[in-house]
Formats: sequence, structure tokens, C-alpha cells
Amino acid sequence: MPKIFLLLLFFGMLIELKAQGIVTFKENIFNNNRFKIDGQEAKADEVARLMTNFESSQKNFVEGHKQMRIGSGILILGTGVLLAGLINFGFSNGTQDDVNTYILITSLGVGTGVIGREIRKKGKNRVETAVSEYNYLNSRTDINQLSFQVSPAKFGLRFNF
Amino acid sequence: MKKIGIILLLVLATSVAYSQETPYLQLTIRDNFLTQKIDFLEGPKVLSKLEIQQLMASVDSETQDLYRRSMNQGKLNSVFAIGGLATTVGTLVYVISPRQQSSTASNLIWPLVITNTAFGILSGVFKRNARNLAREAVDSYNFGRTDAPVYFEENRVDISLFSKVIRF
Repeated sequence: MPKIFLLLLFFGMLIELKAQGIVTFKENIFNNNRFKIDGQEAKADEVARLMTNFESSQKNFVEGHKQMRIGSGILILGTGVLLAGLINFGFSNGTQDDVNTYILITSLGVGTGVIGREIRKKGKNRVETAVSEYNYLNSRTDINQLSFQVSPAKFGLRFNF
Repeated sequence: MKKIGIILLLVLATSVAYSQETPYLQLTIRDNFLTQKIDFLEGPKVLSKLEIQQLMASVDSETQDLYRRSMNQGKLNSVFAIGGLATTVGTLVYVISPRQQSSTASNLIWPLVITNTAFGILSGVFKRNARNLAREAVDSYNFGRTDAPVYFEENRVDISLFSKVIRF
């Protein structure tokens, strides 16, 4: 039995094991983050659940995500207002009054859009910082954990202390 | 037997200590007037281009390649952003400037607007690609590639046959 233990130790030492539970993300065509846990597609809720042991990261992640969604909503609203103003102007007769209304609606839409974009950006930054922080903490300071792993290429035992 | 055990343990301890010394890279991305600034941070320190290249090259050529591609996409982004700005200015000048009453000149507005839109979209695409690739490069540097393509399922080496984690 001690021999096997030593052998395991030896292989664990030879082969560096990958840290588990690493969150990566990629932006899709709408610049929204698509998360992956260890290369597997995952939803934001799952990522949040994964961060349970790291409370500040989890808090930042969840709140940032919410902020980002609120910001996106406001941004879409602003775009809608812009489009509505344009359509309204298109159906009008093009008098001075109509032009004034158009300018008013457009500035309203632009204002809303800018506010939404800023909120969204803030939330996105928060989410990204939280993920980076979590990855760092998870890969460096998972104390009091002993893991065994056997796979065709990696075979060993890992101590973190 | 005991001696060997102690030696193995010592080597293990040093290897653990050694593995924790590798730097951890982080990204901060800020929007500029036209493009974006991608900073690679190691702790609070902003790394220079040369330092990043050296770090990336120390892992593997794939990571280095990801970083290089990210930079290239960033360059393309700047090119199209500048083009977009130029066409925006051109459109504005064209709209504001006193118009000569000729039908050939008024045809210029649509090409300008369409080019402007196309440049805007392309610039956005390259901007996002640059960010994504930079993130991939950093992840690849920090943890090894986590989403490497799988060509042959049976040759996958990252699936554990057996994995057990004890927390105490």
C-alpha cells in the first residue's frame, strides 16, 4: 500500500494537473458574454453557482450580470425610441413642427441609449473582473483539498497546502 | 524506502512552490475615441509588448499565435475605424456644404453612407475578435488551452477515467 501511494505521488509530481472549474468566456455577435466551464458551455447561473466559495466574486458576478441586462434593456429602449422618431418623421409632412418633434425624440433616444450603454459597460466590466478574480483564486488558493485523478495522459495525486 | 519517500515529497513540495510562482495575467479593456486599449496586467503592473511576447512564447507557439492574431485584428480594427471616421466626416461635409444643382453630385451620398455603415460593422467585428483572441491568449497562458478543438474523441487526454476530490 505505501508503495502504491509513493507511486501515485511520483506520477502526481511528474505530471502537472490542470486546475478544475475554470471559467472562460467569449463574446458573441451581440457582444454578450457566452461562458464556458472547463470548455463546456454553461449559463450564467451555473457560473454563479460555481463561485459559491468565493463570495465577493460571486456577488460582483451576479450584480454585474444584472446591471448588464438592465443596461442592455435601456439601450434597446433608446434604439426603439430613435426608430420610432424616424418612422414618425417619415410619415409626417416634413413641416418645421415635425422637424422639431423629430429632433426632440432623437435627442431623447440618444440620451437613453448612452445611459444604457454606460450601465451595460459597467456591468460587463464587473462580470469580467469577477471571472478573472475567481479564476485566480480558484487556481491558486484552493487550500485543504486533496485530489486524485487518473486519465490516460495524466495520472496522479495533487496536494494543495 | 523511507528515504525515497522523503526525497519524492521534497521534490513535490518544491514543484508545488515553483508552480505557484508563475505570473497570472489579467486583461483590462478600455474604449478609446476610435478603438480600444487592451492592457495585459501582471498584478498591478502593465506589461509592455515585448514582455507579453516573451511570456506567451514561453508557454507554447499556439498561445503566441493567439496573441499575434489578436494584435492583427486590433490593427484591422484601427484601419476600419479610421476609414469609418473619414467617411463620417465626408458625409457631414457633403451634407453641410452648399450644393451645386447637378444630379451626378447628389449620387455621392448613398455610397458614402453605405461605406460608412460597412466600415462601422467591420470595425466592430474586428474589435470584438481582438478582445476574444486576447482573452483566449491570456486564458491559454494562465491555464493551458481550455477549449482546444477535439478532432478524435478517443484520443482525448483531458477526460478523467477516475477523479475524486476530498475536501476537509
